[in-house]
Amino acid sequence: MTVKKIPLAALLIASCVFAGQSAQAQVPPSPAAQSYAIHDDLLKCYVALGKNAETEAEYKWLLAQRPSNAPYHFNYALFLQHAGRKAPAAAEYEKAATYDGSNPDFVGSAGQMFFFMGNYTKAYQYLGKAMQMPGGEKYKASCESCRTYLQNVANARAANQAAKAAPAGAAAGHSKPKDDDDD
Amino acid sequence: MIKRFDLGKLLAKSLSLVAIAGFVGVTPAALAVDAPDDVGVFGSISVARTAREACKALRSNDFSNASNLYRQSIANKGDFTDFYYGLLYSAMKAGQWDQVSAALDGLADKDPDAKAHLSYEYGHCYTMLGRSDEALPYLKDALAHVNVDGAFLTNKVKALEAKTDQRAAALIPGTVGPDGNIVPEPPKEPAKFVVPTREIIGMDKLNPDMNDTGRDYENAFRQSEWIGICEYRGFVKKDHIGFYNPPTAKFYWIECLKGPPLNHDMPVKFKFYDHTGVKQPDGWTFGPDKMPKPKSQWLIFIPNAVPTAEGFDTFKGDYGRQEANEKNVGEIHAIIEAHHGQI
Repeated sequence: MTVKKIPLAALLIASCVFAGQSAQAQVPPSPAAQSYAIHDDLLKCYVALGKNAETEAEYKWLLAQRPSNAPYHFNYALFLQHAGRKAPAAAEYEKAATYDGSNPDFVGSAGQMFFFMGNYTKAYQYLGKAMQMPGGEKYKASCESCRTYLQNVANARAANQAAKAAPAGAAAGHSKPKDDDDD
Repeated sequence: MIKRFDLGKLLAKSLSLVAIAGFVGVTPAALAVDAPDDVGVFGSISVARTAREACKALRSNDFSNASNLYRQSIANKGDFTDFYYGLLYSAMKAGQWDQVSAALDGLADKDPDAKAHLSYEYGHCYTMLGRSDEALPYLKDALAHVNVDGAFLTNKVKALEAKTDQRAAALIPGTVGPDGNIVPEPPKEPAKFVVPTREIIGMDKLNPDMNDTGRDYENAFRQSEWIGICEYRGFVKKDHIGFYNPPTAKFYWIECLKGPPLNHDMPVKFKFYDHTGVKQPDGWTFGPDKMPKPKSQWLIFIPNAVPTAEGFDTFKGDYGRQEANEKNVGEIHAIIEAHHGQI
């Protein structure tokens, strides 16, 4: 087969595929897909009705079926965050950012969650990444705050280290005036 | 002569055309000419046409259009339950939840047994409509029967497609048709009209003055404006009286049987023949013997009661003068009686 005839063959195969698809448009869903759709609806209902235990169970079931579903990880993280469970929420945000690294909200929310937890290094890492994405400008302020915090922490550490190193040389000089006062 | 190389190029071009047609959706089935209008299983051409358009839209994943067409089909033929499945399926795919709800309501009315198999559809519809508390029991039930009812709706839609594609059975005269009645015989072609060949009728047979048809009292009565019993009182003498040049007879009417009361003295052309074209009999010569006896009475029939030169014409010449005996006058009276006096 020459190079010129390859597109023709491809077109023929594609046309056959298209014809087959149009003839069999109504394919029944598999039981697994149907179960997933039902659990998805159950999740929506439980969320709407405010049933937290059932909601969490549905999130776990859905994420067990499709672990790489970034939106579900993100929504689950939001749910956990509202419940005040920051550590698992941060883990879910991180998973959402891992499975869909192109979404600035997934990445930025992970950064903010780590920021609130005081993990400034990870927070700065995620926020810096989100800030550079299209639509991620809103994380710029958080990123700046995070950088300031990191700077302050670094300064504080430097001050502590300096304070630890100072007492050895300054102890003799400071003890004498006390004695002088006494004198 | 086509070279082998050219033949290959021609084949390649043909195949590429087929491939492009497949890409743009023009498959050989689509290129085929639509079958003539067929009532299918629906019993109506318009319903069948709408149902086929809906099925076509469904197969081409144009669910919004399919939903509208199935809604139209339900409006046209609401007793065909399968249309509700078509509406339910296409509206769910198109995300038209109000239509899904309407289809489910219709099915609950038309096919109550199907509700047990449509738990997911109920649950999903109520979820999307924000009726979460109503949706939950249906969704739990659907989850319990996911292996049983998962393909219920799809199978119903496939059945609807099959029914839509089905053509109407041939109607055999004398058998019971789909409506339960005996199929009548189709109307037969009328026999080709053949102009009958008839004898050519000449003018002499059409003109009543040129033939001897209608020589009876009924015709004489109908066609005469004036009829009366007259007394013969001689004739006016003139030169060259002959068979074709009749004399003017002088009559005096005694009794008027029909028509206006004319002057009693009535000049009448005393013709010796009843229609034109009669040949003069051999040896015929005019003489007083050819005239009636004076004072004799006659029935005179006059078609036009308008006096002209040389007197009135009588009905069919000499037939318009009948002897006024009891029999002839009686016949005329019988005709007058039959007409109830409307003379």
